[in-house]
Amino acid sequence: MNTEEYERYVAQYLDCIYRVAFSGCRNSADAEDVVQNTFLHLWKRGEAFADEEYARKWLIRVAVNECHSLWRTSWMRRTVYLEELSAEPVFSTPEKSELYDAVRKLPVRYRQVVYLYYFEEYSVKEVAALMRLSETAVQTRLQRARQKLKEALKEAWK
Amino acid sequence: MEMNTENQNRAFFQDTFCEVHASKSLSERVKNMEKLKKKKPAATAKWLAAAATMAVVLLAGSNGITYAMTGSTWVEGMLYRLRLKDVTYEVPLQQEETSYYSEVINEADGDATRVRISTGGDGSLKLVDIMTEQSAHLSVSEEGIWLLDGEVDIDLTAALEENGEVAGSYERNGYTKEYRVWMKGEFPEFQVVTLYEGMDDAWNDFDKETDWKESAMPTTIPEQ
Repeated sequence: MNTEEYERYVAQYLDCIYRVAFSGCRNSADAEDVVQNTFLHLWKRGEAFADEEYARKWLIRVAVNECHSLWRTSWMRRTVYLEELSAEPVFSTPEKSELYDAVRKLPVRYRQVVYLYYFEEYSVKEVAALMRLSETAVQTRLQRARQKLKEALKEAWK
Repeated sequence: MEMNTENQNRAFFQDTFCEVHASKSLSERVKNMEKLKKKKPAATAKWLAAAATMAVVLLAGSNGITYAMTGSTWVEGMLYRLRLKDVTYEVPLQQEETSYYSEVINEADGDATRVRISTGGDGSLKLVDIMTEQSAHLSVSEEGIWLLDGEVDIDLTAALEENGEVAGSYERNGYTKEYRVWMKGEFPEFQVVTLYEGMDDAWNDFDKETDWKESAMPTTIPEQ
């Protein structure tokens, strides 16, 4: 993989990987660490991908792994700076902001499943493969997440 | 009806999270990993550390004699060139009893590598070992216990629950890595070792790597 190819992957997938990371982290600083580590793995990989879909899944898979790793190390990180917590996105409507807040309040183990299913439009089977979970586990998490979102958002979540 | 509500939820979700973007500073940091780009190893690179190490150690000795003759205080160590997966590093070589060692950070791989050689009474040098700090790590969460190494992930949960210990191997970056994980109290500990095949070949090919011989130099300027 040359520099141009690398930068093309960054341009194409940076936001996607950031959202995957953000859905699996407690704050934006951790998410940025995950993103950097993920693209570091991409660079170290060296060779280009056979197709775009494989590239997307490979990057998401590495990002999910990096989030798992962060959960472990974050047990030992007692200090989180205030500015790390305050770097939240600003949305164009209050409804979007409410949905975002509701998703952020979901348990971490539900968030990535929800994100991959609703945003990336992966099937339950594909999410299960990406998360290394059983399809039943994915369905269970989706169901519980839907219930929590419904409780939080009322009519805004159908 | 079910599909409609689900599609509405999906559209709402996508409209919302479309507005979540990586910051410009993060984008710049990810794009401009210049050091890494410059030191990127070739995909088919061979492990040549042994040959490079030996070549430079011989020259480092000649530098030492030069400074001793001028009456200068001996230097703390010497730079030598190490060729690691087709990337050249200038690193200090340190003496520890009868052997020399050095550590390099292979920035392309992100691994810290320690090369150790020993000196025989006849001045011969022998590669003792090459140790690489592993990029592998364990993840312990509600998902269980996983061994993660880049794109590699191995679920160890069931095996550890059953036996309290598990061992195996996997392939990464063209190398075979062997792992062993065991429970110590309620937390797992692990060891991962990279198997470097072809080290003997690299060592025997030393004489062909003549470009190293002009590179040895002291790390610090001796006192006058």
